[in-house]
Amino acid sequence: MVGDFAVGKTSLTQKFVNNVFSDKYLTTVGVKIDTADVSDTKLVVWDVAGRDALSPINAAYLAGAAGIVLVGDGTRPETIKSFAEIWQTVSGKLGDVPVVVALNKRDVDGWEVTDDLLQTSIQSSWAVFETSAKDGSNVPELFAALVDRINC
Amino acid sequence: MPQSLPDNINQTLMQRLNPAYLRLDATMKVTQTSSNLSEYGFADITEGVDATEHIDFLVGVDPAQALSLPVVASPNGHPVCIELLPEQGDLNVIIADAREQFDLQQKLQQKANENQLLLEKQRTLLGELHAAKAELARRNTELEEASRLQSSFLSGVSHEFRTPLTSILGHNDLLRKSLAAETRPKSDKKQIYTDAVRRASQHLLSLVENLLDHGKLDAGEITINPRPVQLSTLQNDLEMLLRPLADAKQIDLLMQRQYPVDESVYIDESRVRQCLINLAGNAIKFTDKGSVTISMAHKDDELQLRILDTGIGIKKEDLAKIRQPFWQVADTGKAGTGLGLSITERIIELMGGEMTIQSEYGRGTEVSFSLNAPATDASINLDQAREAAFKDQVSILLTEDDLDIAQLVVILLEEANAKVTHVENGELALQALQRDSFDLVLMDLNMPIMGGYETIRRMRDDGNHTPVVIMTASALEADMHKAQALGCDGYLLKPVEVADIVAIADQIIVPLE
Amino acid sequence: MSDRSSQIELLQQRYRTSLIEKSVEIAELRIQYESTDDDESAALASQTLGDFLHKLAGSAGMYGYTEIAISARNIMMTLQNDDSGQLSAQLDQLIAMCEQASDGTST
Repeated sequence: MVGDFAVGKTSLTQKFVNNVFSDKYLTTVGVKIDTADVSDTKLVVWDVAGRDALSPINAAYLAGAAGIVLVGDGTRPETIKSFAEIWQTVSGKLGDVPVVVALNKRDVDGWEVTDDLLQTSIQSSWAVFETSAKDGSNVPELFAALVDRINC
Repeated sequence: MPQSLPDNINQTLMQRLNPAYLRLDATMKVTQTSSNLSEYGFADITEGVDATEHIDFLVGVDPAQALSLPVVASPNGHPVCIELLPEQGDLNVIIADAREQFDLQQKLQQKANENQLLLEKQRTLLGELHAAKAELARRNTELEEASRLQSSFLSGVSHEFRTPLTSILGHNDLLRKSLAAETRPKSDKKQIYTDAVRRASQHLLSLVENLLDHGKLDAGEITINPRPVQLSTLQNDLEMLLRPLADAKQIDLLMQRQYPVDESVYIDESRVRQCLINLAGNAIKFTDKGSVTISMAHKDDELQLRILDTGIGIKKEDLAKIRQPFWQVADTGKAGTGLGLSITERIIELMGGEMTIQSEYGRGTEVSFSLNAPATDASINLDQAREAAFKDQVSILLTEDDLDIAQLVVILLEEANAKVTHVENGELALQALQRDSFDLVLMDLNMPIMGGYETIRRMRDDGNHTPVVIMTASALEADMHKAQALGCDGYLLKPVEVADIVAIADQIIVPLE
Repeated sequence: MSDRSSQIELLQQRYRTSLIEKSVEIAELRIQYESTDDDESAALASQTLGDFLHKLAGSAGMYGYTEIAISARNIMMTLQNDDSGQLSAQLDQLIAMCEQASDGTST
């Protein structure tokens, strides 16, 4: 799980793994590792600390990843524009791994995802999901899609 | 450094970090463990088991690569630091306590990110604020446009209303006259009915006038044209107009004059008169006993006007509201358009004055304003009239039955570079208009054989659009409305001064070239 | 003195002289008005008096007799309001003003 800080990486993971959600923002330090079974596949989810102004993503945490969930906040277009830079770090470390994209916080007012933004920030090979960690919409679909892509 | 010191440091660090240890072979099978592994929540890890089945962070990692993971949440929630160190085909895994670093970083990062989020929120809100402001500005422009459209619509409608209203008033007057000439039993109420029609129509007409003025003010169509005015004449005229109203309510109408009897000043007479009639009319309307005083003082080129009454006064909380258009005191039962005062205030402002209202509820009200009004040369009238002249010679048809007036006006106009033809009634005027063309017709209203209104109506019916200026001794408002409705271009009140004729003619005569 | 100035002066003199005739005419019209016994003739007398006052108001003002003009206009107003008590006193006053103005020697 990679993306800018406060886009909801931990929330998505927690919703998916433990079916819990909290509105309170708690920053992730380093990495949190969780597992979940998707059909017959054991998915080990590395919930990596978000990228912020001071710290880029620590590529060490990406080691051995079979796929990537790129998470952006649909109410903060900047976090979607960041995909390009994050993708550079990721692909530099892992090459062309399977990617699914979560445009999160679909439940919140002020959705600012435009076609223009999608075209410039999202590669055509990525599967895009508008998700809500709060109400869970598209969360299972997101991870299922990633597993599909990894298993292909 | 004594040898004891590094040993000491080493010991302290080892205590604090409490490193756990694990050694794996190339197939990720556990070959060696330290006893404190369970303190980090790694259970069931014994020699021979596949480490990737028990330790999530080892899934997918390359055992031949060194890897340093500074902060990882361990299975029991403890933050740990993990070092993967390959050694001769095996992999050493060192797990150490990272609570201190975690706590520190957690605090810093939480704070920094929250701040950043707030900044972003602020930026978004500022953006929204800007957008809202822009939207507001756009709506304001729209509203102004709508208001302008409404004003011009109002003016248009008001104008349309005026003609039929004037007709109603005129025909009602005819009806009253013919009723007056009839012999009727005392019980006959026809006269009362026509009076009611007259009152209602006049009220409607004044409403329409006010709406028109309001629209004109909004559209900036009202201009102020100061001309020499004799103050005593202005005040006398006011007295004449208002006296009957005051008498009807049995209150005193007092005139205070603080200026030399022949003082003339530059003001827009009709606008000042309109304001004073409005204000004094209000004063009379809201005064049931006592007096209304109209005070005019002229000093140092400033005209001070005050209308004082001993009427019902205005409540403090109503003082601000009464200036708004269409607002009326709710419980007085007085008829009105609610426009008079707001129009008056706006006209006063247009003339450079400021209206002040002081009032004590139950005791009375004082409305005052001052205007810049430079004194003119004291000896105007005939002398000044002789100075005014038309730039190019104009031909004027004077229609006036009173020879006293006609002869004087002819002489004065000729002196002012006009060629004057004089006829004594409307029928002769129509004949003259068929023979010759004129730049201007000066028309008396009250004439034998054919009066002024009838003459103008026939002129216009014949397709003759020579400008007509009415001269009359009657100051009744209704005459002015009627004149405008008939398409008159100007209106002069007797005594007419040549300067007035020249001024009005200059405005309305379009040069033929 | 120019031709026109003397013409104007002539007119003014003539008007001043005419004021005495006018005062007489007012007095006559007043008697007519006050002595009518039916509505029809009353209305007619009122109309005639009103017309005369209307003219007087116009011309007197033109010749600079402002007070006479104002008085005439005021009486027109009274006439419309049918206030006979006030009318009588006002007419007395107007007649006196006209006589006085006509007696004046200077221009």
